[in-house]
Amino acid sequence: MLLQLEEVHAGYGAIEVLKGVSIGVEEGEIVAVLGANGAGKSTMLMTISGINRCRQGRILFDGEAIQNRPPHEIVQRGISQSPEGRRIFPRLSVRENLEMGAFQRGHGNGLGDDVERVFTAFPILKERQSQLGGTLSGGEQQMLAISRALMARPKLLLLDEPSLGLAPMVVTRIFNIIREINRQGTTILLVEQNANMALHVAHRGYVLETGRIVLEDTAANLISNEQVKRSYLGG
Amino acid sequence: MAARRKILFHWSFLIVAALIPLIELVVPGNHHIGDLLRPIFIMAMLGLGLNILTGFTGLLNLGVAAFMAVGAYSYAILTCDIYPFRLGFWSATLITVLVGLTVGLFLGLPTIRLRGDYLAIVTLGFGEIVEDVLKNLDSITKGTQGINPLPSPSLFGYQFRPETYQPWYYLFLGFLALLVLVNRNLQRSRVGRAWISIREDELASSCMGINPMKMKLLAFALGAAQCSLAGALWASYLGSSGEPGNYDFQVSIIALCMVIVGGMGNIGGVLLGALVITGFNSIVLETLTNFLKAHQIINSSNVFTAPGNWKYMLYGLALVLMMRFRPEGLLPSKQLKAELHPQEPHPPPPS
Amino acid sequence: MSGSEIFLQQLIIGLSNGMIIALIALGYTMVYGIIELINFAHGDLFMLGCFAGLTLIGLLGLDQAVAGTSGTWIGLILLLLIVPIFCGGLNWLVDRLAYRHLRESTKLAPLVSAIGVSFIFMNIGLLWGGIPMKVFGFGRAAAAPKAFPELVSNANLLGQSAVEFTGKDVMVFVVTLPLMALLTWFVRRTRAGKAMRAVAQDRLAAQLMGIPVDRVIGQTFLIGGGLAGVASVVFAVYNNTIYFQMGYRAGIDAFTAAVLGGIGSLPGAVLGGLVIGLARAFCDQYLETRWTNVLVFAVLILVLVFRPSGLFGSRAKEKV
Repeated sequence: MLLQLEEVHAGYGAIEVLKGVSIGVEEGEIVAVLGANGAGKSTMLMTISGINRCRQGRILFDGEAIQNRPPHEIVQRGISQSPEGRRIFPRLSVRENLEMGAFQRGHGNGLGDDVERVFTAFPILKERQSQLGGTLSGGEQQMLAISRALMARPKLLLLDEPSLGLAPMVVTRIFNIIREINRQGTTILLVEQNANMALHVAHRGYVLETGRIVLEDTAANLISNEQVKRSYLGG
Repeated sequence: MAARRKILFHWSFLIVAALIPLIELVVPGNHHIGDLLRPIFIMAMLGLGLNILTGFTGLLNLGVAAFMAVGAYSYAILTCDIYPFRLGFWSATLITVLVGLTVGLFLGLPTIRLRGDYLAIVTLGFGEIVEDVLKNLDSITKGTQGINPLPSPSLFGYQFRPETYQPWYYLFLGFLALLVLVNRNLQRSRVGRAWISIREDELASSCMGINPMKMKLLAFALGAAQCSLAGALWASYLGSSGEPGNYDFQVSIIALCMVIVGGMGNIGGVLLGALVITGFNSIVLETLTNFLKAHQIINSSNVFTAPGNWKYMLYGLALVLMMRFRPEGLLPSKQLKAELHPQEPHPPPPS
Repeated sequence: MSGSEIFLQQLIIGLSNGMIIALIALGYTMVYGIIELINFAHGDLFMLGCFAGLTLIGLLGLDQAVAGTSGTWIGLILLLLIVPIFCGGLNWLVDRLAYRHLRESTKLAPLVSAIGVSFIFMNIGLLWGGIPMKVFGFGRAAAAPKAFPELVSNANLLGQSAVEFTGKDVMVFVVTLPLMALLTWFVRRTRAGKAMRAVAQDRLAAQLMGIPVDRVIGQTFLIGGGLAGVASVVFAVYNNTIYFQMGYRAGIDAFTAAVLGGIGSLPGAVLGGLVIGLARAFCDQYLETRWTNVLVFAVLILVLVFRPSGLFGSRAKEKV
């Protein structure tokens, strides 16, 4: 297991959002976590990233407990996140946004090469490299957000709602990108409301409901699962 | 049952406070605790005024000394012989409170829309402007001299004299008790609950049909009125408006210290804060200094050994340490405590 | 002095003092930009820098120095190196001890804490003046203003002209202008500077990028404090008098400058500093000195009430 959550509890103030979540991600996988608004998906990713306190339970990465380590240490260990709503630095240029993604690695260290690689994959970002991040379109921002997270050269990439607010055609393109990133060797934990898309790129999936994992299976099985169909696939 | 016990508790406080001068009359010896308590009563009134703004409504005000100055100066102008008004104590005090109310409205109107920290700075600036204007408009305010002498009040046929402190003591205690009562009723009224809900969540409270602007303005007016009442009483006792420097930024911060150390939004807490902070200044520091001087442990030429020279350090430390370790104050209001400690121990694990 | 000479003279005084105010304002605006804290103690930090400078002068024996000798120049450079380190370090320490724990609490908590720190600093300044050193009058009158020796010559560089433009004015610009250029380069071009801007724009995203946010905020306090330290030395050499309550006024001037320029904006702080410096100089000359503070406060209130984003530019200003 690359990442393992064991009975993780987390929340805000008196409200407990995660009530003992256990999931696992194998190296090389794409794992999707499905769930409605407020089920605790983002909280889960933020707890992995060290932003939210893990009140109980363990988070193992590469066999080592990483719960409640500072966020920058978690990035250093090889987990980076593209957060919900993209959160591009609006008044940093596209190139500077990418540089910030590589902050933990320092300057040098092949930073220029990685930026070039991103620009080869996304020519539009190269075109806009000196434009401010806030001026990009939603789809462009999502590409930038994912690229920025990849700049840390993570072993595990956390993606929070990458399709949110994007036009259907752009969504398809983003999911192709996700598949491609995985093919090149990065493990991905994906959180999505767009269950259909998520299950089509993922190998396995979990269903999170009000802070608890209620279902776990291969993506193919989940797509045909009656309960999942009813609740998340609009069928 | 609990409420009744609380009321008893409060009454016993009042009775003890009322007995202090009598005990001093009966027990021989040269003590003056009651004398020293008077400034505490005044500062407590100032603190209660600030508490309406900062404690109940959550508006940080760094210029309440200016409201106090407005009170002291308008009382002085209304009573001093050199001006045409020459009013008596009651009418001058009443008008002063109305002036304070108006000044509060005047300052509140353009500023209540500002964000919290900007509002704090605006109130600070207002305080400084008032101080400088009082200093500079010497044709009216007598500049750094202050307006004096003011006639001592004559109430219910009794002529107050500066040298006997007991009547002043009861006058101030009476006003303080009245303010406590008014504030308690305000806090429990619809208005008080609206203030607290604005402090907790302005957006939510406006969704519930509270008009935050109106309520904040009311807080400004009532807070300012109370502070100016404190100023008027102080001036009547001093027999002078005091000089503008008596109402500087440091006084505002001392008032803030009282509210924060005592417990924002809690009337009992503010009284405790006034006792601790002002009492520390006028009783502990003074006694300590006198003691050290009498035993020749310190001489006036050494700045480090004079306790008074550490005063602001201690006020500063009080603010920093309270914010760090006990932001709800020594006697917290229940709601604020919950608000300031969001990291509760987690609920029991689900079975 | 003719009318135009008077005007020119006030212009020089206003610009020189404005540059000093700008240096202090930069520290306010950087800290506000990154954690939205009005660092109330910043002016008092500046005051402590002045006292540290005078102490250093006493230790180095510079109070006997003659302006213009090489020893004095070296002493001045030493001051310009050591005092900023002192102020920067102190500012960093205060953030570490007082503000860092309050990051997640309500916005007013760190502000109240900063007011407390301001009082502590002011008290330290009072006690500092009581140190029995010759430069402090052997500590006999702790609260009294202290004379800061003339490290730079007061001689008029314009020869016989009635308008005075001295080596001190030159010093102000020689120190402040390159420093501001350096700061701009740092924030725009270096990795640490970009990280500061990133934290200012979106702290959560910065954390997710692996930027150690607390360290970056600490660096901001360090740099802001360092700028205040430079301002201390320049101010004291320029004006030759320091006293323990000067921090409050200086802080208000600088904060007003920062607000005027749009708080969070670096060029805005500099511009605001110049405006305040000039406004003070012209008010001193053409109105009355005693109304100058009222003018500054009135400007502060009016800008906060009517143009909270500053006089220059729009709301979406570059922060830090």
